[in-house]
Amino acid sequence: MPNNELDLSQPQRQSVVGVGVIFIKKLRRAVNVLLSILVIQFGMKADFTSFWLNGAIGLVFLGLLVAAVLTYRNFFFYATEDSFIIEKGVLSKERITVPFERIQTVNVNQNLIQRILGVVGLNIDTAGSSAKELEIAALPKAMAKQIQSFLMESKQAAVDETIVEEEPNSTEKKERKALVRLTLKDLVKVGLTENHLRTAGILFALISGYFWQFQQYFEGYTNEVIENNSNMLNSLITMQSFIALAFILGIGIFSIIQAILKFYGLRFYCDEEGVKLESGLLKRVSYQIPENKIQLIKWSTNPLRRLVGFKTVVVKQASSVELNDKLSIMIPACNELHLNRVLENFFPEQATSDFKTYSAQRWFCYQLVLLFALLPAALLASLGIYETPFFFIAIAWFLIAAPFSWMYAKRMRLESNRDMLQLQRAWVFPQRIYLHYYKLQSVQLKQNVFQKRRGLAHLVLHTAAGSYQMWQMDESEALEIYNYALYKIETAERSWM
Amino acid sequence: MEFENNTLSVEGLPQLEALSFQKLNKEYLWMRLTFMVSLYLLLLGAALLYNFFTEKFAVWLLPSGLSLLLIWFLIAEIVGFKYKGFVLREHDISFKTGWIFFSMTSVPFNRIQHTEVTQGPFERIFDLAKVKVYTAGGASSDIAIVGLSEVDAKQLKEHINLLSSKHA
Repeated sequence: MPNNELDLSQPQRQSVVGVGVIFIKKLRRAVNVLLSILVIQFGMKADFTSFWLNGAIGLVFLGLLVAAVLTYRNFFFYATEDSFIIEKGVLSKERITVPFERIQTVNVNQNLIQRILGVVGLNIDTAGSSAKELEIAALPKAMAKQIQSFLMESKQAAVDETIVEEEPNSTEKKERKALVRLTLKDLVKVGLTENHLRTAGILFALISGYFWQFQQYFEGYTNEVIENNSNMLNSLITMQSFIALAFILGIGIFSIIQAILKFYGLRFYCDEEGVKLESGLLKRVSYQIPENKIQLIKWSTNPLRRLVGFKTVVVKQASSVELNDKLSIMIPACNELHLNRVLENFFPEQATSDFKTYSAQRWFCYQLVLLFALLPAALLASLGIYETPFFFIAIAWFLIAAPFSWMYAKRMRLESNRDMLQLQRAWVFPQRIYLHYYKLQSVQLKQNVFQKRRGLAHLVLHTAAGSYQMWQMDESEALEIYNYALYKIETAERSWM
Repeated sequence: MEFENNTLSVEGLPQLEALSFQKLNKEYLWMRLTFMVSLYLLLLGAALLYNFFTEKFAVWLLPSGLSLLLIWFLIAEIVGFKYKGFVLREHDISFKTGWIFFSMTSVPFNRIQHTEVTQGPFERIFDLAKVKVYTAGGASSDIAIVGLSEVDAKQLKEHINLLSSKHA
């Protein structure tokens, strides 16, 4: 079908192969549930030649297949004049109506199964806080793209009637040029410069989770071995250092694989219309955020990543807290040039007026050193009464934590010019947030009795993409920003979304 | 309106702290005190019952601990009442609270998502209600104007709705 016009006035079914996609989805869910039941029931001794077990598995398969067919047969989507409608449900029918103006983003993505079957999935995010899943599991790629642009255009038209005239222009969009593309070498760099402490945590949780599940079998085995062979104890110690080494190596490999899976073939587009990201090896995802939906832009980095000159840039859009990660776009490897291009694009005001810098007051330095260096060190030292080595650990902790806390407090600053705010955090793990005043939702000033005496205050900036704090400001400076922010919000001519 | 020529001079801006916040209804304080004493009596009853049925170990500990807590909370509530207040301006609404941990939040009308009048059981007894103001900034950015009479609460809600729809 070379030129199949998109006709959404009649209820449509998805691609026939959708049966396959739905089936696999159901199967995966069933396996997740049933596997744990089976393991608990039979342990490792399940007899897979048993007639009953095979029969039961077969029955489950057949049931799922029928369910998948029925789900497919009863799934329709179409569009009316002002909304997009999905009808689904086998036993209990459900009809979801999405008014065009409520559509936030439309994403096309592709997981492994969809890739094998040659279809893509379509996700519709709405502005509502209810996380109702609006998903079409299987569509031909061309059709998905058509629906995506149809929905985005209808939404534009619904939001602003005046744009209708310009519509013919916007349909034949000029080819966007990717700002950032990542090569395989970049991906290896990204993998190696991950926050390895976090990866170690995840890996550890994963391994110990599996270990816990099969603990009883392991326990029986190791006890037996140790009892039979007391020499094993010595080799156990060498084995431990071997395991540690393997663990470190594992983290490196795990990080690289994760980076490749997630960011393979990454393309990041950034222009007046907004941002768009495509990435992924097995599961290809494509997210876009229109320019007016962007709430703030943030970059962060770590010492390793700084060595290779990469910054992680996150573009955040309005979302309820739970959906935060899903709705923001993350580019793990931007260099200074890319970052500047993004900032020039969305914050042209950066250049139009000078910034005034607000720092955290010196008291903040003392406070952090006290809280994170002196107090833990004192606790460790008190343990030193029983075990001398704790004295040295306490001293080491203080020597590491004190300068870290001090510099963290000292380097924290808020910068403001006429139109925008920049919030800078930290030493070692620097991060910086850029946002327009008119994107703020509300402002808050916090002050405890001690701060009141010293004339200090915390300032909290609430945006639709999270709340951000500037700690221990001078009280009058905090009020200055507070009042100015209110003034800017109240006189804003642009809508925050 | 023209804002192009504004510089970051703050002297000319409306200053929130200069405006006097409106004190809350005295009834609100009585409501809070009644609530605390009721809770105290309930817990005290439970503690005495517990003492009655178990061995007599440190019988005084639980009731006196509860009493100390009550005294502290009463003091905090009475002193803290002076710090609570709200102010309604042309373009925004602000609420402040907290004696030991002071906090002041302002929500511009053009950022309000929706408003709500709610009334708890104790508030009903004292004919009080609160107006909750929701923004898109999540729970920590929302404010609740407490200690209004039910009529006032409804009026305030109407007023806010009117202004926020005008600004939207």
